[in-house]
Amino acid sequence: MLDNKPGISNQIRRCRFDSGEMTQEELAQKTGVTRQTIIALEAGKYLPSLLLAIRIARVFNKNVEDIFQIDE
Amino acid sequence: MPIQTKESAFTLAASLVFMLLRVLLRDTGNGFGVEITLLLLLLFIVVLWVIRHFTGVKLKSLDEMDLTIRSQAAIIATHGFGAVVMCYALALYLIYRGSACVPLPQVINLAYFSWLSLYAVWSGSIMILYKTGAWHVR
Repeated sequence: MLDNKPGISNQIRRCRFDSGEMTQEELAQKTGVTRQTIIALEAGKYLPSLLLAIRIARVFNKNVEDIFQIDE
Repeated sequence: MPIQTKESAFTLAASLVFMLLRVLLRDTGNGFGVEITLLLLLLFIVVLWVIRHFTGVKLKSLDEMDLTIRSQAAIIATHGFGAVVMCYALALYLIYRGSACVPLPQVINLAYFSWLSLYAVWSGSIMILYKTGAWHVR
């Protein structure tokens, strides 16, 4: 099935602010993507690969499931 | 603006301009229709290369979302290309079925317009997918 709604929500924005108000650009650099991708992730317009999800979780020292949750 | 969107905007504009040029420079009976089409096709390839060069798009510099959008747009463009080929071929069949022979310039035009439409749909799809977000396979 193809659609534009990921069905997964994330806490990236909250984690950024909890980590000393990290900017989107800083997170993008640390995870090896562009700022546009971080914007799309926070807006729920893009579902990251497993690799990117793990990289994001590592930046915040959290588990992947602490940041990404399935919308029930 | 993502670098890929910039490339797509220029590619879309170039595709539409080259389609319009072919319509405006239609064969007026001097017998150079095929040569004009082939020349425009060659120019279009050069323009694509120039656009890519000046916008600085390199596959290595694109991240996973860029590449996802690029490949999904390519899937959409393939369908658009197929639709244009089918409609154009059907129109040619209906027009020339009486003579059972399609003139060569029309075959070249079919190739020209279908190829340009591939780039037009591809670049347009990239721009739309950046706004709506990439599809997700579940």
